[in-house]
Amino acid sequence: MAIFLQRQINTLKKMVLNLGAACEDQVRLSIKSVNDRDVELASRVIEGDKKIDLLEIDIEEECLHTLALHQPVAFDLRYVVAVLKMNNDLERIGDHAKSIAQQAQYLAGEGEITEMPFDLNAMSQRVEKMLHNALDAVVNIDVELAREVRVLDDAVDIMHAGMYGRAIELMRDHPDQAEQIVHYINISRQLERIADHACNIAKDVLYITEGEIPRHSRLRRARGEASQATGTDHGEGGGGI
Amino acid sequence: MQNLFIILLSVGLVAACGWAVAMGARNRRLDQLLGAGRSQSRQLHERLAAVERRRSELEAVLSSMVEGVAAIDTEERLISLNRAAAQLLSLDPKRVIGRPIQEVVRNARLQALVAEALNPPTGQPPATSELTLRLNPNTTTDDRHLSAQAAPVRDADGKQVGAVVVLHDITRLRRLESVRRDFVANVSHEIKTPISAIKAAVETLAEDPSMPAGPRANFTGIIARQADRLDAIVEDLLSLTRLEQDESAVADDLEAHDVRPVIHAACETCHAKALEKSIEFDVETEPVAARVVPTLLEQALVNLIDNAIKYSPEATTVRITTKARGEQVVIDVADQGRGIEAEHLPRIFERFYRTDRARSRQLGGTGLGLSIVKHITETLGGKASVQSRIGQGSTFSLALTAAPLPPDPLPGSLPTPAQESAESS
Repeated sequence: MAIFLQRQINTLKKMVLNLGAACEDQVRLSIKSVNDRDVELASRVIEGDKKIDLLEIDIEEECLHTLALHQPVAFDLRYVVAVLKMNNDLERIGDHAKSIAQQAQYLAGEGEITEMPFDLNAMSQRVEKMLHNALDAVVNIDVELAREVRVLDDAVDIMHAGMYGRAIELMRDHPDQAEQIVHYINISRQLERIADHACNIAKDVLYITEGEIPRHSRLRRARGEASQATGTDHGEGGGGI
Repeated sequence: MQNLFIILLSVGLVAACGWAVAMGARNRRLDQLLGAGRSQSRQLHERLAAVERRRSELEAVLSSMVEGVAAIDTEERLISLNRAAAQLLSLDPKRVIGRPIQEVVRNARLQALVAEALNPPTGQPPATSELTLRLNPNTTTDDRHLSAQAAPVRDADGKQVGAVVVLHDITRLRRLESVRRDFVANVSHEIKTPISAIKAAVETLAEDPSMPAGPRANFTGIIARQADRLDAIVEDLLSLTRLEQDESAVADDLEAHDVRPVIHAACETCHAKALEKSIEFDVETEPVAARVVPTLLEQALVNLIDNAIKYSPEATTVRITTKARGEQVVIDVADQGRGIEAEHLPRIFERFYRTDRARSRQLGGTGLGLSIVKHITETLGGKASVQSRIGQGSTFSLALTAAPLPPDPLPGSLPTPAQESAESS
């Protein structure tokens, strides 16, 4: 029985990493389509999201199948539950990548703007690194790496929040470029959301190993229920305005 | 009694003989057996050695291959990979053997390729795919492009036991393609700009035949300047092409020459331009010789000195020095301009690469000067490099192959650095 469960868990791991690799690709290509003003690449990304949606359904079914047939406990149970949640986050990341590609399609048809309201390359590199590290943490169940991802998230939140002020200034100076700037604001928003989802994946890794839900630990501590062990809480994802 | 004794003796003898015969037969059988055993063991040893030899031969072949080869079992676990594969995928073989491919290489395309090879559609040729590996999450410049081919592996009974993936590094190819693409786009752009200006001026002149002489001269001036620009670009492109074609021919023409007359000739050519900006030359040369073609070296130096003058503020000095460094002769051309940002330095010798497009065009550059310098230096078997810091000017260096100093036919005919400096000021 244990062997079957182990095999099932290995399959789940392979499936979720496969989805992760696909999402990483989608994010990378969507940013490339914005940078290169490549409409064809953008439509490939939009098309590629369908595959991610199908993978998500397969993984969810496999998880439910594992829960029903093998009734895992302890670490194994947490693993299956974490995969269910990561699956959700990854699918959302795919959606955000698709949304960025849609902005790229619009922006490619318009003139170039004088200045971007934020440093797209710096932000996208950081987000891609977060996603990469989060998935690496899943591969090796690496708690340290998972914690690093949460630290990076703060930097992305700050970049995103700083973008609004700059965008308003730019719109005032170049009212004719307002539409493009709105689209760039949207890209920043999507990137910030991807970072949040990467952060959630990192938190799931912590949950698998420590058995404690790292989300909202401050609130729960106030209610007197969480243990004091979670001293590394970096606040919650969100951060969006 | 005696009879009995004889009978007993003969029985004993017969028994002894029988025993001896029987023992002899047994020993013979034993010997035969032992012999057979020995020869079998020898054969076994030979077979084992042969197997071992074949295995190490295969391993040697695999490990000396440039292509990466990785074997994967039906459970999608990595069972072996050669040295090239480990290097191409940036993996440590000790840590990854036995682990699922999804854990080891997170690349959706590669995973899809392996999945396809493990469940091959019947009658299809091996699947191929192109993948991009992000080696450094902080930048895209280190991306590695691979072409991958996967095929199912079957045992003697035709049962599938896994898949084998072959990887080729096509990063260089992709990079060259993009260089070529950029080059064509740049040439078109650079040529289009003067043509647009000429066209606009000609149209204006044609529309207004009664234009007063002043504005008319303005427009003809534009046409003349832009035509000169076009001419300069085409001239530079032609000399680049010539350099590329003549590369092997030049190698035969290389001879030991004193570099000092070449440097002075280059300074002479740039003299007029230096005077316009009251720029002085500070030439400090040692008697050194290098294996060069003087006309080519002069062209490279003229380009460098011309550049130095262009990017220097008025009334500054351009320093040209030579030094012998081991088996090389290094010629430095240093200006006191604003310097070049570090991010531009690695690409400064590329065709049409410009740190500031508008400024460079205003100064009348074609965007090809440094590229020509690099080409000439490489044709001469040397290396061109640059060092620069913002606010402290830039130094371009040409490292050439040193040679023994040829006998000077006319000693004292060279102007001394002091003279040169006085001339230019």
